[in-house]
Amino acid sequence: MSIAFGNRLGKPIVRLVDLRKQYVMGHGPKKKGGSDGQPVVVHALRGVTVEFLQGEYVAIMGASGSGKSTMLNLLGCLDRPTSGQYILGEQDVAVLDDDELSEIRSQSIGFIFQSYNLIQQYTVMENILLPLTYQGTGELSDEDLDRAVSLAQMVGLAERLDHRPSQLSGGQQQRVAIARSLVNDPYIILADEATGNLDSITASEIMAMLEKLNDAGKTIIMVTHEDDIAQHAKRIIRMKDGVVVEDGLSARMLENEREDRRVAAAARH
Amino acid sequence: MGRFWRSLKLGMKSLLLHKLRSALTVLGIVFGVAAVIAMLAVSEGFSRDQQERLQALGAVNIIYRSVKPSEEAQASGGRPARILNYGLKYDDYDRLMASVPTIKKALPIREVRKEIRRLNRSIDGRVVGTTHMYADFNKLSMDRGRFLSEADNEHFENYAVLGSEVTSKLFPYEDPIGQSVKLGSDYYTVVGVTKKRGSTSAIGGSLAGQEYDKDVYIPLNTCRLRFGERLIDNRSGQFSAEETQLSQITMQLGDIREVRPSAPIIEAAVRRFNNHDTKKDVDLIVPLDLIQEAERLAWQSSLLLGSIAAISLIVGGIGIMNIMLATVTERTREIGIRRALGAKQRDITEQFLIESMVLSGVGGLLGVALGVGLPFVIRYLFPEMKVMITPISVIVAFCVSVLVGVGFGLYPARRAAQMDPIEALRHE
Repeated sequence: MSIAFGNRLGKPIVRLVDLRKQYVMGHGPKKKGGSDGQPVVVHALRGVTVEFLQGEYVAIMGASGSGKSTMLNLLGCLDRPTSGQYILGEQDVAVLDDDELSEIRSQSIGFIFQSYNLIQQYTVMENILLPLTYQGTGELSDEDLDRAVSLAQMVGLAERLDHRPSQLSGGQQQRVAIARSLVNDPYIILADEATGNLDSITASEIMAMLEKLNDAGKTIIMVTHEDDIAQHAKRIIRMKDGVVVEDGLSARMLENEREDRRVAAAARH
Repeated sequence: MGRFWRSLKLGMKSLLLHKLRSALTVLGIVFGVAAVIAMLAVSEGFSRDQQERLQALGAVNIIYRSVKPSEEAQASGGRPARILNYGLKYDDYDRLMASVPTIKKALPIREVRKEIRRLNRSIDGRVVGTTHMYADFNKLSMDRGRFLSEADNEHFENYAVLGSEVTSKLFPYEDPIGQSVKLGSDYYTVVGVTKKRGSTSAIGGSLAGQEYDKDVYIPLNTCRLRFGERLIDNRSGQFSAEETQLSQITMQLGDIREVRPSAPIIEAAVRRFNNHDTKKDVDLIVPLDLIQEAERLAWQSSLLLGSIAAISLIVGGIGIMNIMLATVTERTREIGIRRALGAKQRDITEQFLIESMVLSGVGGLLGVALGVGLPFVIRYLFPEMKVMITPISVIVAFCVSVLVGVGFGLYPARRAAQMDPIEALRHE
């Protein structure tokens, strides 16, 4: 299954309409007489309506329990909403079955995780190729292999193709994960606390890499609780108790905008 | 590189993460497969041996043998005689030949245990009084000289044909043909020597083992004339006397289809006479029945031994299941990663199934090697034991081992596939 996109540039790529997610967590305290209480329903998302445009770089922020991880899981097609619509491209993926969601993940979504999540027994090359092995027949072409090699070159690991993750540093492992997230040429890249396990220097290297990808036209949605990391994004969405409480440009973008206005005003005078 | 081969290669990689654990799991299957092959080889060897010996008796033959009556049978026949008179008589032979038309030819045999002497050398052997047909009936071939002839019997000649072991003991340096040997109190001229032929062990309870190489063959009439019918044995200090005329009559029928209908007629033609019924001193052997019985027993023993060995294969399979369940738990996070990257449930099932099949397949191959090698070791350690590997047992054992891998790998694989990707990703 593939998603048909129209003109990609600047068009809405993801549309969430009144998206809700509830979890039923066991039973409440026992009532008098010994019978189980009512099941406890946790409302993780309470009606989120938001749009992401092609080429956007968005940071989703929020405290623990705000619903940001649930939203990322839904955006990554790892879970299905209880109600609402999730339009990816032109298709409502909220109604797809497990196999169809898997197909969407392998073709249209790139994941970058906090703890890298590389397969330990595989080499760098095998890890980068992994999403392609789950597409269609799973046969790998020479172009696929060339693409994996050039992505490894792009993240600066061309010399380490035969190395195992355990032979790489944290930053290098995250770069492999970035190469892996790009191998299927996805429509959106989802980054979950991508720098959470890294020191500040390596973290800024990774953030620079993501910025470069965004400059090249990739849509990036990242979840973070660190404000300075979020400021690398162009747009910041803040969540609280399962709803979006703030949605606006990042400080960096606001500064840019002010600068643009100043330049425009100066030009008028 | 095809998808399957890549999956196989990556599966091997995953298994090699825990080399010792995988090797021990494989070992369970190795022993299972080897046990199936070796057990079936032993069973097959035994049954072939049994059947060869029965085939040698001839499927178209029916054999009547004299049997020394048991104590109870002797007692029931009245007062115990001083001389024990039992067994087949010459008139039984004549009656059979006259009354059963399906008998094509018959071979009367009289066996006497005697010391066979040549100068100062001697050997305890069996003197067989018989006719010229004996060599043909028992598939004996000549090494030197000739077998007994019809004329030898008719003329009561003192001629003897020696078995190969008798010859090598009595004539270690010379050609025995034309020389004489002493049987009892008489001398016999050696006219032939039979080729070496291995001994056969007893079949059922009715037919004693045959040591053809320790035999001396003389004409039946000569035997009757020289040794008489009464045998007195006081060698051990106890007097015992037996009177018997024929030890065995082997009858050959024209066609295998005549064997079954003829057996009761032949039985009736002997049993009702000479008090055989009360003395219980004769025994009818139908090799065809024995052959079929042996085939049935061989099949049963193969089934039994195969099943016992198959249990070890199943135990090996349980080992695979156990390890795969542990692997699935250990690699929960990996399963989550794969699912996040687009693996469908069936991809995960396939991956873990391939791993369990690699375990059982490698175990199966090593087991085949061990199972094929083991019979050679058995043959070396116990040369008298016959073992025979059949290709079908190798194929079946290997296929069953792979099926065990699939069967016992399926549950852990399905469990892995049905994991919730989000839960799996959170797994530490």
